[in-house]
Amino acid sequence: MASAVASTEAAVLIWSAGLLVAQIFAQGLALDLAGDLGMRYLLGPRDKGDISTGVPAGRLKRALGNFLETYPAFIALVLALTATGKTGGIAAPGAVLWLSARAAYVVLYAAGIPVLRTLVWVASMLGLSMMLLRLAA
Amino acid sequence: MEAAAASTEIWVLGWSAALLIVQVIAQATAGSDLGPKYLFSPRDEGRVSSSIVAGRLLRALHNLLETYPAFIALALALTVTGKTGGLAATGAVLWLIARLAYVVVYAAGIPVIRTAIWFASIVGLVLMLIRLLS
Repeated sequence: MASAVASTEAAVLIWSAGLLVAQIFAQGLALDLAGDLGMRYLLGPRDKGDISTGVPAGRLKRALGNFLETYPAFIALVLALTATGKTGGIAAPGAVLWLSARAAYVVLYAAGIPVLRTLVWVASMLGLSMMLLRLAA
Repeated sequence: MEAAAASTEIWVLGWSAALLIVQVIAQATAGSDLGPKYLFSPRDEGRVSSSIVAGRLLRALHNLLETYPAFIALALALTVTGKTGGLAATGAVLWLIARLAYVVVYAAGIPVIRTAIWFASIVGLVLMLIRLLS
């Protein structure tokens, strides 16, 4: 199979991996900085299941959990669009909307901004739906 | 790239994304007993919905997410290696039907059958894996 031409969707996929890694590091850093669990506990096997009471650590963890709920669907859609030669159209702005919304979501969540965070989440779901519409068309 | 013809597996993959989106939205809206004010907030208090259905939908979603990456990997690996069809197509359809039935049966609180359905979804994945490795 010849390689796929670089598409907007593929570029967004690469940046989404960057966003995931950044979110994981931010969440881990916030957990370290919260300090309540202690480095010794964090480096151990964490058998007690202690949870940090740090506010940023909790927010970043929930934002990461929320990201991971729909990230597999995004990956599946990008690669299915690529494999079937259906990238572009409404799928490209859908992918860009999804990534912009996911980046904004974690910033808004960390800052504790209400309502807008949920609207941005809805925008990310809209982005996925646009990609799905293109795949189904 | 020479586009792969839309296969059963890709068709199922598209519908699986729809199923995930529906499960995420269903789960998010089922916990409405926490109130819009708390739900819109950054949820720092870590409150958990007391709705039984919300708990079931959350567990059903997490169960889907445990094996969803494997399904995506298999569907796309079959596509790029040109091995779609045969046992894999049957497996993919079985997997999707089982995952759809699973969340309905879980929300309804029906025991035993839910676990049997979960097994069927794993059989679907194994069928896809057998085709990929053959």
